[in-house]
Amino acid sequence: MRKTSGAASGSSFARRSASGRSGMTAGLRAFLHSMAPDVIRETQNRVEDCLAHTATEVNEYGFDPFGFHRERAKPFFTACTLLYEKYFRVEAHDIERVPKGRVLLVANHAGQVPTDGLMISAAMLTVAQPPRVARGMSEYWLGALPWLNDVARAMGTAVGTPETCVEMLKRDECVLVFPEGVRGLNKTYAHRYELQPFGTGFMRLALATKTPILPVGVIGTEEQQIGIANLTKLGKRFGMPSLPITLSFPWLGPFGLLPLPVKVHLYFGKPLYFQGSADDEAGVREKVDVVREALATVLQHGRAGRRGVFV
Amino acid sequence: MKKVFITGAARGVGRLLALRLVDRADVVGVDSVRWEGHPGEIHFVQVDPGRRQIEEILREERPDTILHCGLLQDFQASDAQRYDFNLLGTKQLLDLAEHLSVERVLVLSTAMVYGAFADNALALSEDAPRLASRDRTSLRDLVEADYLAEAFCWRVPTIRTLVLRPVHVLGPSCENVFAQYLRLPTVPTVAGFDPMLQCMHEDDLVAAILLALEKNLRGVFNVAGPGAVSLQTVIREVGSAQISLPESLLRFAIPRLGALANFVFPSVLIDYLKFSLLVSGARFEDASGFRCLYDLEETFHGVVRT
Repeated sequence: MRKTSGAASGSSFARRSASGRSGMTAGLRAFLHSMAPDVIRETQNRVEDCLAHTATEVNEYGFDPFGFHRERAKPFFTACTLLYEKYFRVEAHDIERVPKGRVLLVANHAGQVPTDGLMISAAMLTVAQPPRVARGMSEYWLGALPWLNDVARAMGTAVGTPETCVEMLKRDECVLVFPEGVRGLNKTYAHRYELQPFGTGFMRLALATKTPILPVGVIGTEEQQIGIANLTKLGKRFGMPSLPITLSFPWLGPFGLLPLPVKVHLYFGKPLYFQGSADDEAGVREKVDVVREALATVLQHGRAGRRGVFV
Repeated sequence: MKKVFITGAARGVGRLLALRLVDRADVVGVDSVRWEGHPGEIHFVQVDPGRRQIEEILREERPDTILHCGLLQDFQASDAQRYDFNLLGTKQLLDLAEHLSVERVLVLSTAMVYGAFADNALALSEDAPRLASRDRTSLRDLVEADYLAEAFCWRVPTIRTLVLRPVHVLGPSCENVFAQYLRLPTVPTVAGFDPMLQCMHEDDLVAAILLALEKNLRGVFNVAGPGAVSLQTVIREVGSAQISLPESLLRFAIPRLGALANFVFPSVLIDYLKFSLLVSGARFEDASGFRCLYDLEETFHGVVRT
């Protein structure tokens, strides 16, 4: 039932340090050690193999209709997997619950930088059987960020418009959404694990395309950055959805956005199947609340089961 | 279809269409440029953009079909000239079509009218708004001509009107802004951006138009090519050298400096070099059964570099 991936597939040093030491240093040490060339090469080969086994169809130049590209994505998925296994030492629980075919993963969003999305992507690629590309639905402004927009697109992410989401679901993809959006991502530390209000868009799309919804509780990333304030107006002036102030950002510059080496758990809930009209406002709201409740339960269960923030 | 009137008949898709249709119907072609050595069966007239001439030809010839392939898409003329030519020209042509009760009208628009934006949906349907002129007025003539044609399609039910919005058309005879861009000696791209886009071969577009006419389609359709790839893939496959430059340089310095060196950089394209513009051709494919004959590789190799 329990599937661990982080320690199990890493080097012996990583395993020892992850279990033996406690606190932040364990994660940092394991991560630095993982920078050894042989570990990187081994991870890269594994990622390549997983990517080759994903079902997403591409054209003769390697692109799928939304810009996903295995070759281009490989180095970034490798980096992601190293973070997954060595830095955050992620454990993915009950990932076999993800049904075959189209599915909508609904997760909590936190921690100022969207590592939660990256970790779920890494889990779906390297742990799930068969491997899948999690198609993240991103904030609108990601599409305008130089370089990052290219990387995100090659890894299968797209700016979250309803039309794109429907097209992806029609192709039986695994789409990842954070219905809290920036409200969740940029909330302050005091509000960690408090689910913010959900948008209803994802439920309409799920109903229209008869897609099962699977709540994914992300434990750990809510503590990766200690958010103390949010300067929404100032952020908007810079073209960002919000400007978070954390213990380290913006005081340390861009480095201040680096997440702490928290221990991350991904809890995959049971798939939820809904029926009804996408235009029934009250009905949609009700169903969204069912998903939110289910995710809250998963989170509660996950928090109760952990030993500490860094172990 | 007995008599066809084709605008833009001396260039690109208009010319290819004229040559293909000459066996099946009487072809009357007009264009603002000369067409040296056109087949004797084609009645070709070089017209100047003051458009009284077109009215006279139409009244005299009384075609049953008008194929409007003459929208300028190469941005050589000034914004104001193109506005007159593309928008007022289309308006006049459609008014005449209604007045002379032709049977059918084709307006060859372009998928560029949707505009390239960071938050574009990645399979735009025909119902998506045409936003290309939201930030850049240079494209307003094409956008407004497209809206005009779409409105005409539903306003005048007695005329079978077809509006096609093909993706970037490539081929040896095509003179659109994107083809010209690809033929630059060194092709500049915007640093940090490598958007997805679609291309199709000019022969495929001609085949699509002939098929749509054969099937008597009416309405508005995207015509998508054989697939989507990134911009830098296209540049590589076409065989051009590529250079990444900061956007500020592309937007301000290159157009001004380039003018001195006789190097025309189509600034209007910059948004399309940053953001993905992907349309869904499903509606057209369902209605006509159209499939591209050229695959991606053949499409790219159709670009002849001079």
